[in-house]
Amino acid sequence: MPALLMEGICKRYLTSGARANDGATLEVRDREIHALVGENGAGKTTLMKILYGLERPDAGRILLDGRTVAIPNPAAAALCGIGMVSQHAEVVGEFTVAQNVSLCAEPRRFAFFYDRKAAEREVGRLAAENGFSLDPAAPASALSAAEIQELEILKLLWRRASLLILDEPTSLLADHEVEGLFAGLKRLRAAGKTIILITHKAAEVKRIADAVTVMRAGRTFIRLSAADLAEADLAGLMMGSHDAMGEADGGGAPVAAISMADGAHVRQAAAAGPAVFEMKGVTVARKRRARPSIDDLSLTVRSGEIVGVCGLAGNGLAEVEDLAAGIVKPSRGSVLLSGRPMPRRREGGRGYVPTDRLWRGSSLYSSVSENLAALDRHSFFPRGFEDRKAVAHFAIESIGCYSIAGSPTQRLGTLSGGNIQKVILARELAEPKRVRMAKARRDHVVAKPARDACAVDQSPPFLLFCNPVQGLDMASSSFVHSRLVEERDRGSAILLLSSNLDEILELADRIIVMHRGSAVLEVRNGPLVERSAIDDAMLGMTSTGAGR
Amino acid sequence: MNDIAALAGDALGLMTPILFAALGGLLSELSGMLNIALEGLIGVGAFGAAVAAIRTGSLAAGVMVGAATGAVVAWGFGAATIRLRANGFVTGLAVNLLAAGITVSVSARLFHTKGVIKVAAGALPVLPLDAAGQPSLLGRIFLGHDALAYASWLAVPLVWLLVARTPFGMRLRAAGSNPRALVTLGKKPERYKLVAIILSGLACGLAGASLSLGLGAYVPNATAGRGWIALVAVYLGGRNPAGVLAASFVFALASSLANYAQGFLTVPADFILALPYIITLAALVFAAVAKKLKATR
Amino acid sequence: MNETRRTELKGRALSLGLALGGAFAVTVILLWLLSSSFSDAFRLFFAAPFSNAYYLGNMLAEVGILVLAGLGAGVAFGSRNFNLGGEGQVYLGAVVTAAICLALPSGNPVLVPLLAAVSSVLAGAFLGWLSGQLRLSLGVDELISSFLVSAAVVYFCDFIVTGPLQDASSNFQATGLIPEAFRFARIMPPSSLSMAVVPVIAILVLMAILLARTRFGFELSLMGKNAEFARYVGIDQGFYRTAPMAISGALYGLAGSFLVLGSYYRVMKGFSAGIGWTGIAVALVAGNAPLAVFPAALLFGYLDAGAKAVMVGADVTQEIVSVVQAAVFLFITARFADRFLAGRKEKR
Repeated sequence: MPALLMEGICKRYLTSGARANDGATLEVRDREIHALVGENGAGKTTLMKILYGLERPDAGRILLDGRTVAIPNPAAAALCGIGMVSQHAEVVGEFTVAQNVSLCAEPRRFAFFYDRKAAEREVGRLAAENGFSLDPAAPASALSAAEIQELEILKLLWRRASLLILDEPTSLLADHEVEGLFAGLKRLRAAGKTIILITHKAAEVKRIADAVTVMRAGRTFIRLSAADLAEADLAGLMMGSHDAMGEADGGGAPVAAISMADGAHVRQAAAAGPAVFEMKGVTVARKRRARPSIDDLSLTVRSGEIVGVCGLAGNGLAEVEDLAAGIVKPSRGSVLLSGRPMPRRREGGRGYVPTDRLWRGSSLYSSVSENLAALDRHSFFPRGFEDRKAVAHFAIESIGCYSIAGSPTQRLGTLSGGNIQKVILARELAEPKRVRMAKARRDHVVAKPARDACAVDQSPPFLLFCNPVQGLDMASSSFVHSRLVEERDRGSAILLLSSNLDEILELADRIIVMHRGSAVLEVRNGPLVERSAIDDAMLGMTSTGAGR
Repeated sequence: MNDIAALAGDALGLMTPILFAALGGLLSELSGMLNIALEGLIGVGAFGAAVAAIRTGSLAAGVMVGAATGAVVAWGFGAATIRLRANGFVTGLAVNLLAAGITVSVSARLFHTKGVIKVAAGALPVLPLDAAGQPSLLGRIFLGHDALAYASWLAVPLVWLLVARTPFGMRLRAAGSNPRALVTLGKKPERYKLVAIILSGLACGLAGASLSLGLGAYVPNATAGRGWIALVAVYLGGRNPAGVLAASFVFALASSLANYAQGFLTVPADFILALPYIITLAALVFAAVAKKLKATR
Repeated sequence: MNETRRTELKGRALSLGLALGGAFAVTVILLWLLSSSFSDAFRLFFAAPFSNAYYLGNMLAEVGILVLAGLGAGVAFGSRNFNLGGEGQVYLGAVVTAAICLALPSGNPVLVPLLAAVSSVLAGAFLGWLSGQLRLSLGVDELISSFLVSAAVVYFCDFIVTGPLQDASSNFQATGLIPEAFRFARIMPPSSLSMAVVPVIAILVLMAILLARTRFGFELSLMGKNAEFARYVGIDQGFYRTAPMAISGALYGLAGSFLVLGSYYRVMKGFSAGIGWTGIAVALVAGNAPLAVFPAALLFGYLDAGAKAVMVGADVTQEIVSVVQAAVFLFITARFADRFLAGRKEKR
């Protein structure tokens, strides 16, 4: 009898309409370290949130040791002996380790007061029993990421959890700390605990797991015992490159594969021009002695080329985006735009499609045309007053070109996610054209000397596009891709950040793979490029001699 | 020397309402709830205390009713803000407005005056200056205050105990600094925030009671900005009761200095009245400058 | 008009109706509880403002002032800045105008009032700007600083009014009357309604255009709707922390100036009490539409006029207006709740 059986779990998020779990089934044996793997958006975290009572399923049931249980909230989960350590530490910095561990289950003196000594003693004992070297009286703010991990596990043990769920526990850990964690997990298993690990790192699974369940697009795809599988197969199962993937569901699941048949555009980039965007030796430190989120990264994007940067979530892509957008400054190294430090405020000539399209890339309370006009205010508000005709014209033109399902005066928040993305794309892709037109006007009007004061306008436009076609249908995706190539051919420098490898392979002239904050692979895109090498690099399995 | 002792003694007396309100504000702040309604809560507390004392003839009843009034109004404010997910700034302003309006209106109705109302039962009993024998320097400072003043001093270690040494206090602080920690443990941070707000109302009620019953009369606008001063005292006090005590004392000392100066400097009365606000603003600015300098070092 | 726009308008109309209905209900309850004669109070409160020229004119005069105050509060809120210093800004504006008019009694009848008004505007703008700048460079919460500055300024103005500018010939705590040549003509004597409403209407229209059609208004509204997005499109965050506060203060200052040039021709001690809060109330009810400030100001002007009438006639104090305002605040902010929830959902 399995310790845990989740059967037919379905969960649909009302706000995004995405089916996060679609008949998922999970079987975990007693005293097993079970890895739950899958790509981003596969539904792993949702499934575990349901197990822990943070979410409630639309359908399905949960059986513990053969008995059906209802888990409406985390308290009920705790009563069933289930505990979960989420990806982002829920630690109160100003408390000590003991206070954090015993929060809401505090030992008392005289029924009313917190018994600090008892807490520290008991927590210390619990830590020692499980091989953790945490000091119960240490303030939580001074802990390293690995120590916080230990604290979170202690929290579960304090509440006598017998089934522990760990969500991406190694994402912030350095390699030797991962060793320590795994040793701890094995000790826990020996002590009779059952452990579920959520992860997308195939290499780790092989080292620690007894059994693996692979999830894709909300469904559980297959369950294997770890002994039965080789690492590369697992990576392939997760990424779907060995199998025709199912169609994307709603807005939240991974995108459909983009056909590679039309790979003709890619390899054109003959002579790329001068460097437009550079990162030199950039490091971004993190608090709490965790490893830096970006570690000595250097890359260059030239005029007339598309540089594709790919990697799995949590490996530095988001930080690269923030750096390239000028929102974050590096702790070491420099980020340069046309040779000058990246300006904080966005000026003309920079297109930027952010990953966080809803909060950063759009104003949901404004109308479609307001969103479209928001960037190029210089042109749409000549002499300070709104040029309504121009705004309306641009809106209608954009709606037509990108097939946006919405009207210019409609509030952006009422559009679907895909259409919101199209509005953003329409706005940002208009930037290079504007720069070219401004340059053309200037060139016609006056013969200026080569060195001009407004260097930014004269320099080639720089486009930073992050997951630009996520949530879009095939036709729109192709349109956007062909526009990107068109801009590339006209001299824009394009930095494309994407977790969709097909997109990168189709568009990029050079490909850089990020893993744990560094560039682990850099290759010229071409007919000889091996997809599997890139997959491996994304999963952190670089064999020496591949690509650098 | 005698003068300094007198100043300190006066300051301790003036400190009572600010200290009570600031302790209440501290609880609210620790739980993560913005509370700009301190001023209004003190006002309703002062009025409620006076009304009860007049109607029942008992000062003790006045104190209790004052505290209860503050707590009840704060409960309304907290429930509206939390449950309706209302904008805490707007609801806080609403409480301040409400307090100003309701007290005057009810006062006119019950007592047919918008002005000062004398409490027949007199003022709160005061510990006489010669209680410990001959009046001494220390006596000048620490004696001669009313019961609520001493209660406010007692409240400081009590609040500290509550916040630092009880499970409730721990969860309250967690609700303010990382509510998700409570959620994943199955608790609702909102509940702790609401209790914090109610307690802050209770404290402000006591502050108000100390104003009207300490004087023996309800004076409209007796709060005179003390609620806002208390708010700043919470910020400057660094989120702990001892700091709040120190900040409250500093503000009270500034007030008593101003009163003292008025004795021999010909400073216009309006300037004296404005002084608490000016000092409070200056304190805020200095603290911000200090923080900035420390950060750039 | 498409589907979504219609539902939006319906939602807004509903919550506005709720706020108005709530205000009405609260008023009635208070009148019933507090007045010596409910029927008298009811009649006086709701009908008296229209009963004769005096009441009506006074109400409209106050509406004019509230329009300016509401615009001032709205400009700040629209960009997520909190200006709680309205009262001080109005009072200071009034004092500045009175001082200039009284200091130059034989000056040019057009230039002197103009100078006075402009000076008042600058004074108010300075106070507003100060809080914004403190926030920008030192991180001092402008909510608190604007309140504190205003409170101190009020006492300062009290001092000026009862001191250097005190009218020696009168027993009231007020300044002398400004010279006749400088005053806005009365439209509906004996009420205080004056020609000042003309520039007020002009300013209302100007502000509406500014906020709806200019780049400044566009950027301002983006800052209010989503500051992160505003930063992303390159809007100068620093400028939009100080400029809106300055303009807000300027409008309040102008209101103070018109109170002197138009309504009262003098400054009475404490005559600006409560206008800061009422301005905020007007702005909250008007939402983000500048032209809606006019009906919102009408509402609160009406409430105030009714309260004044009741005070004279039926033993209820004027302060019930504060209570009604508080009720309106509460009902209105429930609307924020919907928006907030919707915004949170979309963010996820």
